[in-house]
Amino acid sequence: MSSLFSKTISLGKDHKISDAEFAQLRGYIYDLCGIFIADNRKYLLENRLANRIKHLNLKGYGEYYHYLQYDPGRKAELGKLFEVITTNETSFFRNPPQLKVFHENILAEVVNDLRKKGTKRLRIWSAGCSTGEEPYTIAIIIHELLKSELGLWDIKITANDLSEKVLESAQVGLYNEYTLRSTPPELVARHFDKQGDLFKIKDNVKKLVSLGQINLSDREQLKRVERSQIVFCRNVIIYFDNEMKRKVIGAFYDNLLPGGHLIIGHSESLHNISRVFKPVHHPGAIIYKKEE
Amino acid sequence: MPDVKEILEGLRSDDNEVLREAAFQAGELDLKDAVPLLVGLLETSNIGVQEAADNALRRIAGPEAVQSVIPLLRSENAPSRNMAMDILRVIGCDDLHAVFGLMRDEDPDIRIFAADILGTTANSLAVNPLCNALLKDPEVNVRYQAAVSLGVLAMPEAAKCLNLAMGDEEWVQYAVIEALAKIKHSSSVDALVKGMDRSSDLVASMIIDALAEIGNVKAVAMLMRRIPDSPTALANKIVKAVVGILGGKALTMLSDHDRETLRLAMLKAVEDEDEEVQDAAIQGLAYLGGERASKAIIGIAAGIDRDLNQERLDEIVGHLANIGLTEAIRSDLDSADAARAEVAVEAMGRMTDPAVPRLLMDAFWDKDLNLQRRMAWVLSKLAGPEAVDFFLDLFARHTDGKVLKSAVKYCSEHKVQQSLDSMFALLEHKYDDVKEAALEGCVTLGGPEVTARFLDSAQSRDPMQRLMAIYAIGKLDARANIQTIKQALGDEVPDIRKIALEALAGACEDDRESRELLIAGLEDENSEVRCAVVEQLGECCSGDVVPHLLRALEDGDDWVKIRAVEALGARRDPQAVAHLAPLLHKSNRLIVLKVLESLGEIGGSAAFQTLIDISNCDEPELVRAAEAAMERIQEEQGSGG
Repeated sequence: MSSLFSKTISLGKDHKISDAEFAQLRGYIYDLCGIFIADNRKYLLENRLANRIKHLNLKGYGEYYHYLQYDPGRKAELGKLFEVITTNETSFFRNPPQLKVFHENILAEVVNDLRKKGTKRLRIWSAGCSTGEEPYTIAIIIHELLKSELGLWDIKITANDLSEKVLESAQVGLYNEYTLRSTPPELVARHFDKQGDLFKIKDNVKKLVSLGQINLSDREQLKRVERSQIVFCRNVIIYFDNEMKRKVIGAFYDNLLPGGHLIIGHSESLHNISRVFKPVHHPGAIIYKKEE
Repeated sequence: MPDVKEILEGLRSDDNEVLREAAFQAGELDLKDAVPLLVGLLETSNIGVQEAADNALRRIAGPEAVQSVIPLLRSENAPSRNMAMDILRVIGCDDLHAVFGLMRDEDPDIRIFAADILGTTANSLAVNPLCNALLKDPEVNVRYQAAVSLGVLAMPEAAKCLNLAMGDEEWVQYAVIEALAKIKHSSSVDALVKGMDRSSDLVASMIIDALAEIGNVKAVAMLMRRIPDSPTALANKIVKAVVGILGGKALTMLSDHDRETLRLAMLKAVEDEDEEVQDAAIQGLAYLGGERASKAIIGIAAGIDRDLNQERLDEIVGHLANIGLTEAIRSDLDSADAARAEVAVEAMGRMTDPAVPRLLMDAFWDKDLNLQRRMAWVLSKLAGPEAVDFFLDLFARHTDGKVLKSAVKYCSEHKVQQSLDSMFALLEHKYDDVKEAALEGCVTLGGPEVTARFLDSAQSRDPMQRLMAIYAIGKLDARANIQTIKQALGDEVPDIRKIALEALAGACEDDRESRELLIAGLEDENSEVRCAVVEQLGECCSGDVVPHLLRALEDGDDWVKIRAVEALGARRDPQAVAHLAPLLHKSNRLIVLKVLESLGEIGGSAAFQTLIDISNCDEPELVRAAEAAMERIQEEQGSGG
């Protein structure tokens, strides 16, 4: 009941973002996290931030920009801003053909190589994990591949995102049926516990995943991530301009162990961004490989 | 900060990871001494190291980098050559003379590379060497690349040499025509037209496109003459070019003969595969079309996916509306094909023909919901008094929120008093947007009965009903209903108190009681309500509110302070300066910035002196804000004479 206006009717208090305000906010967001909001997304930003401005009882986008910098509540608001500018549209087993290639070609090959080398230490990085669907999907695939052998392995999936809010949600690990729409029912039965209408990821899957906040524009943070055999970064670099894409892809290259694999979204490409990876074509997916 | 010596050592390491890191640091530090080592790394076998060196060289740039990379253009190793080209395309502009020298090289490949690099320099000094190559180089591929690069530069200085190059062989002509289309110089029209006389169909087609791009009216007569003898594909391109040059309306000023020639060509061109040709033909037919055009255009519009191509559809519907209420539109309104019917409705919505409302009303109840929503919206905008019964019937029979919102819009704007019960009923609708439309509708309708009903709702147990009632009373006549507003000022819901305060704002000017009630809101427990009070006081012209605004500067909530600072700035009262200046020492930066802005608005010597003091501080953001405020004062003084 505290705010009938923002929660119910607007009574004509709509705000419009000016070009100058858009440029100011875009620059601020870019400096903060490397996400570049293109001109054609100006109205999307306006729409998505309108509720924040109403909620905070501000006079417009210029004031919101100052709020983000100076208000004592700015830290909490940055979390809200990150939620707004990243869409977080995701699901379990998103893009099954790509994950089939990951399961049958990449993961199987990496696991076999490690066995041959006499080590059972596997590291995977899910950079841009949103509410956990991607890293938990990876963890489920690992369970399915290694089965009872899993207990003999040292496995860690480092799962990062910019937004604390989505990480909190990933930590809870509770999902609705819609996010499981691409997941084979037998896998849902094996790896989730039903709680009413929702599904909770089982602890033996969850414990493979280590969640943490990361800003992909912060090179020092990226350098601290444990080196991996496989990096997943699907549908994240779409938010960046070419300069930022180059930096992030360079950081993945540095993180990957020799012969490591980079998996990006199926509609994304490294064309004009980087030549350091060899694109390996599989039916249904292109996987980028670092030299041995 | 990394040590320069360490970076240079790192660039000599055997370890690829060390090399990458050192290259990155060299780029970050803009380390010119690292350039020779970085160029050397471009030829290593490790691609990760190559790319790190490549990125660093682009970042460092400058003449040293350009001169160091140029020798790689002669490398036998193709990847190294390509990498050098990529880098020089970005940094070549930092040493143009080094690149000019390559234009005189004996090796034609080097001259091609140099011409390519010059195209990316965005510098007019590159035009002359490129023109020279275009007209004199013996190697056709160099001439071709020179033309391409002149197109990339797109500078008018190049038009003259490109015009001359229209006499070159066809391979070069392709690039020349594209370049001329980008430069758009009027002198090129003649050169292109002459070129057309001796060209193949492919080149002729490119020339027509180029003439369209250049957009010079001189080309129209020549293009029109070619329509009858041209194959359909070429004639369609001419249609696009002529419409592009003249626009739609000016086509009506062509001679009768030319209009008919063009109309027939446009009717063929709407069937072209190329959407741009179709669109040009449609644009022209909007002025020369008639019945036959209308039917063809509806067919195209109905086939457009509105989710993917809304803008194009809107454009085409506009042209269709321009043709007017044809038989084709009337018949498609009744079409079983929903897409055709929808296009017909959209087009009718943009017509001024008085027959449109009746046609839409008669067809309404046979249509699906989606179309009914559009029809109701169109009718709410277009229809006159003849639609009163139709909209009252909608209130009675329809349940869809969007349709009902259109009925509200029509009935409120046409003051249809019989709709009052229906509009008030919608104040309890489940969707907020419908409630809000109904609320605004009731306010627009106005009158004693509306006020009486809202006075009644102001006593409702439902806070939403009370909120809407107070909002409406504020808009209708707050002063006459001051007792109800007073009562709302004590409501348990802060939002209702805020709305009641806003209702008083208009009355506070010359009504002491309203002003006092407003001022009392400064004691409200809720900071948002206090903010609202300060905003309203700021808009009140009466001078005796200033002490209360000054009091608000002491409020415990920073946002109340900020709103008071803004209000005092807007009032431009010099006595506020002494009260605002101490706030410059607050820890909340936003308050400080707002104070600086307000001092700029207030102006005067005291404000100016305070701003000078702060402009000497060592915080750039505050200095910038203080300077902007001082500039404002100076400008105002200047304009005040």
